[in-house]
Amino acid sequence: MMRRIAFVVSALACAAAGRAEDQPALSFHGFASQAFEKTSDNRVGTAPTEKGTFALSEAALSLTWQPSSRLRIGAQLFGNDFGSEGNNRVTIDWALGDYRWRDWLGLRAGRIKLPNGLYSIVVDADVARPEVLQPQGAYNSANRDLAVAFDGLDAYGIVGLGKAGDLEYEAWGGTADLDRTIAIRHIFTESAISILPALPITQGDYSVNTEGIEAPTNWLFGGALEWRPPVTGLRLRASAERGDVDVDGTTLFSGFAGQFPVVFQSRNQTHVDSKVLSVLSAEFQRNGLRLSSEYYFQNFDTRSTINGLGFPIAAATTNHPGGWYVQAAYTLTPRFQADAYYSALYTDRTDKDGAAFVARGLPAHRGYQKELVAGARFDVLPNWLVKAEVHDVHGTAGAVLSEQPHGVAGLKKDWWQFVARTTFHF
Amino acid sequence: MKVMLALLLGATLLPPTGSSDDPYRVIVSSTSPLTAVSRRDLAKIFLRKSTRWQDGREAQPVDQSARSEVRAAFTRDVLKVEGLNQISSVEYYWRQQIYSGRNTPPPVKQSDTEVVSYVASTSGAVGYVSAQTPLEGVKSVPVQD
Repeated sequence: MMRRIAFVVSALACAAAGRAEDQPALSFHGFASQAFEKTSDNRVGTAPTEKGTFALSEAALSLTWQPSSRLRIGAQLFGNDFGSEGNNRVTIDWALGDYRWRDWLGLRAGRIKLPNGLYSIVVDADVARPEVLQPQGAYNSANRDLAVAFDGLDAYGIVGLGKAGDLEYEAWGGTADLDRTIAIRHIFTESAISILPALPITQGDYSVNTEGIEAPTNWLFGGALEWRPPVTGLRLRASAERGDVDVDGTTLFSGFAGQFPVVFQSRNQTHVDSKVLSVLSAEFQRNGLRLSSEYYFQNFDTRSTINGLGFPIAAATTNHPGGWYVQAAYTLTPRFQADAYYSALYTDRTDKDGAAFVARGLPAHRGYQKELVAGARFDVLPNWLVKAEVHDVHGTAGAVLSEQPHGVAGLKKDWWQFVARTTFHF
Repeated sequence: MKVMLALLLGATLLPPTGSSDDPYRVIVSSTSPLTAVSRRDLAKIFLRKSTRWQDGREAQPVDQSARSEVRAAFTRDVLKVEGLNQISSVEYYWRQQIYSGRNTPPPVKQSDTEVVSYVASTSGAVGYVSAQTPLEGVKSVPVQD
């Protein structure tokens, strides 16, 4: 990995050195940010937020070479830390060549940010948005790793519609390597937990760990249409993707059978068929006011086979998560911006009250998460900003059960969250 | 859902702002065949949504410092058609583009003189300068709706 990074950086530097008179052949940008998060009860992600944590940091460095208005080559390195996630491991966030033949047709190749919704492209760039945490109703942070980037091709362009405005489009396809994604590990762990009742020797508390996960995406493709009607500052967007992933890994169960400690492992193979993930979006921006709203829905099926327990266990699930949000951000002064949003996330959008969870002996609030958020951003200096926001939350659909220190019994329906973040950028 | 629709519909009825007598002039090379430029085309070129003039030639926009008065005036009067009539909004736009790898902003010059020099010597270049700036090797083109 580091060799590839060094190659990209040195190639760009050499290319830039050969044309020092031109501007701006090479551009560097980057940011480093540190956050503090405190929740009243439930743990968010994998950091001990219920105690208050600083284990939230992000940094990125991007380098772009643009030899002409048609051609652009660049890459961004990214590292983050969020509890047990990230651990400041440097990854290639995006790395691409972009040839824009005409305004109506351009082609990107390489690792490309997924263009779902209005703001998925800035999921890693705190500096490029007003809020600290994106609305969970469309940008569920538990799935963050799944919605970052793909390796493949992306055709895009803008077409004038005369008096009807402009239409931007994007069509893309490729693969993604999800081996290290926390979201896949969580899906895997939750599936292992769900089979515990079927095992006759497991009574009482068992811990479940997953390891050695391989999750190659067989294919992934999608597209987006964005219409800018002749209403200043308004854009309407529809985006969708399909995907197909085979996950293979090992699950380690440890606990007690009566008084005797028991440890055993199983091999878990799960096929994930993401039939559709779609986001419908609207944004209006004028005079420092930005209003945005998005509706997200997804349908995906999983088929799991668990071996190594003496008898095979097969399980299949059908999932319909969804959500929406509405947000307002207003620039009060060039340095100060206030924002607020209301967001609703549903584990199953056909069961918004969580009745299916109750039927399984779980609290209904696992089925939804509704939050009202108010925050502010202060650009102290042109290259330094500070943000803070408060969340009043009802429901726990976004909380990862396997990360809760006291399991499902410790989850609280009504809770709050405070997040502050400072970012340096150039 | 009703709340979402009401907010969006209500907001679209807000009146646009920006005056037509802003203290800037849009300039191109004196050899350019351009005699006027549409506000919408100009906005797309400065946001790099368009890379070419209508006659097919490459467009090379050049910006001024984000802290300059002339950029604030140009932003209010031209980029407003894209809803970005404040420099802070434009900076948001570029940060989204930069950190997602989708685009990079035009080069930035620190003075009117530098912009004039760049536009005069760069094929397809377009910039904006204060109204009183002497124009050598460049010409001013009107912005039309």
